[in-house]
Amino acid sequence: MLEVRELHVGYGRIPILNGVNLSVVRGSRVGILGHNGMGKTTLMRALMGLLPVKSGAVVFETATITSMQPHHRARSGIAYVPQGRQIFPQLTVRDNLRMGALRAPDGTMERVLDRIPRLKRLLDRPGGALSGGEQQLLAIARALCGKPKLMLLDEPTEGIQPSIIEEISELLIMLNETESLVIIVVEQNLEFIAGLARRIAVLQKGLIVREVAPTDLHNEQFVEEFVGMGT
Amino acid sequence: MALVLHDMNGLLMDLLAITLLEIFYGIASLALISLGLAIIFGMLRVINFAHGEFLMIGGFSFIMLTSAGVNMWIAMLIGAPLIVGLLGIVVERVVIRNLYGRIVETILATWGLSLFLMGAASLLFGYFQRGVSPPFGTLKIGNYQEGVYSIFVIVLAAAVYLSTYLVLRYTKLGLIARATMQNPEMASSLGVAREKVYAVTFFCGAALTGLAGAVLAPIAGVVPTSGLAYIARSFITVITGGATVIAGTGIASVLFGTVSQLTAILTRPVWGEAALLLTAVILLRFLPAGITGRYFRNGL
Amino acid sequence: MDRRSFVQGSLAAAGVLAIGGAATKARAAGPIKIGAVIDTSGPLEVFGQNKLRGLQIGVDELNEAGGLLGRQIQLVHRDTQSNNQLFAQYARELTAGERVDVVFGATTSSSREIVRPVVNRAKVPYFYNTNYEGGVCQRTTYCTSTTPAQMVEPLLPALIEKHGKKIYFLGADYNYGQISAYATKAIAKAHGAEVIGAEFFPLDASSFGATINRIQSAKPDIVHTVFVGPAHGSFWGQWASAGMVGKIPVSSQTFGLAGEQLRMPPEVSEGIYVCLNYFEEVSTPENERFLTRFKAKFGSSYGYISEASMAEYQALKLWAEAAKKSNGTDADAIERAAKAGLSVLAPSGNVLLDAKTNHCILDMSLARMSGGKFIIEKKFAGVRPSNYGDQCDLIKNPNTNKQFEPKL
Ligand SMILES: Nc1ncnc2c1ncn2[C@@H]1O[C@H](COP(=O)(O)OP(=O)(O)OP(=O)(O)O)[C@@H](O)[C@H]1O
Ligand SMILES: [Mg+2]
Repeated sequence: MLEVRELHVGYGRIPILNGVNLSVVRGSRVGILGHNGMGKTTLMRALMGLLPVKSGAVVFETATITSMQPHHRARSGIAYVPQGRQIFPQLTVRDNLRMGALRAPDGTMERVLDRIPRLKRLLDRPGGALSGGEQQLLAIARALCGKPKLMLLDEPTEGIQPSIIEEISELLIMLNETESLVIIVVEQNLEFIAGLARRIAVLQKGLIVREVAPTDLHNEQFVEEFVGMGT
Repeated sequence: MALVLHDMNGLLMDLLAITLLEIFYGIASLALISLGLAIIFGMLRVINFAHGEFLMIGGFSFIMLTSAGVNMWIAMLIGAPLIVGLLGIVVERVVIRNLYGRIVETILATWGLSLFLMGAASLLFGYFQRGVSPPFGTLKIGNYQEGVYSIFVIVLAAAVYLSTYLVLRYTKLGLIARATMQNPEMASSLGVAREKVYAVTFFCGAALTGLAGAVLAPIAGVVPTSGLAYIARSFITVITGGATVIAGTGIASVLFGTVSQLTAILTRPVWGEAALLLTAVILLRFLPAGITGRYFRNGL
Repeated sequence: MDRRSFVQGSLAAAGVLAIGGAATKARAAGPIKIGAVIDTSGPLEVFGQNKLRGLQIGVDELNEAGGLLGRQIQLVHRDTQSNNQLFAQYARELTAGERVDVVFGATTSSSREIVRPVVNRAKVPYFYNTNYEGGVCQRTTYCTSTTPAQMVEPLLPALIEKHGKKIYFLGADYNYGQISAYATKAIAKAHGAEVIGAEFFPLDASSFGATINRIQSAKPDIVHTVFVGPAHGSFWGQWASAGMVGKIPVSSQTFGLAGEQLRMPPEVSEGIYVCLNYFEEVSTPENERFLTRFKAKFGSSYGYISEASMAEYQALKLWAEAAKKSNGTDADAIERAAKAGLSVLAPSGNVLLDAKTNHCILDMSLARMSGGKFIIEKKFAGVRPSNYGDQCDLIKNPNTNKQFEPKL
């Protein structure tokens, strides 16, 4: 489904990703763990085409998309829920969703709203006036309006209350299971990622250093090690 | 006695009507010459120093088309906007595209473009193209007489603003434009071809500028240096208005049009321009991000 | 090489030798150099293009007649690009580098005041040939075009007589406008007329509605205008749009100098009165000869030859006459001739240098726009230049160096 090979990405001459390899198969839910500044967002933005790749390759389904522009990636089925949500603050919730559904058939937005009913009564509010949790749900809903095959989520739990985290987790698992949406989620929240992902890669200093199983996250030794890695 | 009083009232009414008409005309012409600049600045954050020359080329397109036998209204409302709009697309592609986000470079590049266009116009059209006289007759208000064309300009400006508002507010194109303006990266992540939006926006801004140039041509006449006559006022209006295209430019036009016309009517023309500048300086002192940087931030 | 081309080659070589011989001879004396600082690009090219052409015609004429004082004339032009910053540099280059014998040019008063000190200091005669506010008084500076008094003095009395005694004045808000307003008031008063309103506009003013309304309620007999620059061009369109053409006669001190009548629709320009030293329409044998020559050299799409361009040509003739009279081209020689009384018969009529002010006494023509063309209605011979309070007297005080102003 998605193949990332020897991906090198940087800002100007500062290298951030130094050869990331990642292979994601159909139907999977992949978590990527990493501390602040390890390059998680950089990886997501590179996958979305928002950052140029220095070397390496990205293959999505059958096509090499290494230097494809973001809007073409979006149209070919990749959706992005960025860190900080990036809601259009002056557009209403409805218009935010319409932006997500630009190319989708009629009724897509309604179906998405049925899955996330909490947004229904907020439709006419400006996106910027929503709470953090509501914005996060909106960002996910907006991404879903494009009927994606692959969804990239960057720290969806950042600054969000537990009940909504729960809701997001359930929603993502359901979409993955009923609509075979492939999910790649970047996180620092161990509990959330343990509940959601079936495979977890650890990103450290621009490299995927190892893979762990969700159950390892309940393993105290790993937790200590992970916490220690940040320093 | 009563009769005299009635006469006085009549005179005052005439004066009031003509004064209002002048103020509206001042607002309308300011609003027209600024809208295209505001769209390009508000949507793309590009400061187009060749804006005055876009107006000039709009005027020339109108004059050349009418003198080639094209119906005057077609030349004004379709021909000139189309020509300047296409020029806008070329300029966006050749000059602006590689400079998004680099304010100083865009200023330098568009400034160079303005000199180039002025030179090209003087070679191509020269200073002696015969203009078109203002159509329609006049309207008598008591002792005063006003050109019906002024009323046409007022109505047209209102129509242009209203339709720009409707397009931005209620069409898919408008939605995409607003979203791209607020967060271009996110818009592209949702499948919006950013470059296409920029090109279309530039086209629209340039076309509206071409329209304004054509509408004012019968009044002002056109020479290759005509742009110089507009550039300062349209910049002051747009900067004071802030980044919100319609509300900002609209409010600034109303404010400046009223202040400068009223001052010019009550005192002397020199003070009219001075009042405009003074208002702008005071406003920007207290609202550095423009009127809409502070209020109406969620508007259009 | 075959025989034929050999013969041709030798002939050509002989030709080169012959010309070379002549050139050596000429270089002994060297050509007389005329420096010109004239804007042939940028906004002021609308004046500059034909100004330069006027000079070129003058130079051609002199050279065809065998040059001046037995030497050929060479025109050295610098395009000042409508950019005041270039004037000082080019004036210095022309006087110090090219060592020109005389400098012509500059259009705006501000650029003149940059050129003048440089050229004066180099002790090179300077001819400024654009209508201006008047008052420059310096022994080697010759201002050959019209001053406000020369336009207003013939124009206003003629209009007052024809249309009435109430005058409304509109002008640009800088010294040319202010001084013209002063001249207008003085002349109105002298003819029992009155200036009932005077308004001044910054150069970028383009909205004249309020003013037009005030004129409508003041009901003057004449509106006299001194507009400058492209923004002020809006006045005419607004005046016409308000239906005022033909209602109140309008006169102008600037209309036509840049060929405005060619781009203005005839309905808009109908009836505008202008009083200038020269119009293309002037019918003198000198003008006919000049126009034939001009069109032969530059074709017919040159726009319009206004007073602003003719003044350069006339100034060149005046200078050449002075050089002939004193048999020299240095500043002293030109000054000597100027003091002795200098005049030429030019396309506009008689151009006579006033030795007291170094300005010209000119023939003026009053014209009225009709059907998009100037129709000359009246001629005035020997109209004297402005001399504010008679303060400039270069005969009595040859070392004066200033620009006098009227006491406003
Ligand atoms: N625009 C930029 N220019 C230069 N360096 C940048 C830029 N954006 C990020 N970086 C640097 O790249 C590194 C990786 O940043 P990135 O945002 O990918 O980290 P992250 O893993 O997402 O961190 P966080 O958990 O805080 O979101 C950091 O050291 C950061 O300082
Ligand atoms: Mg991050």
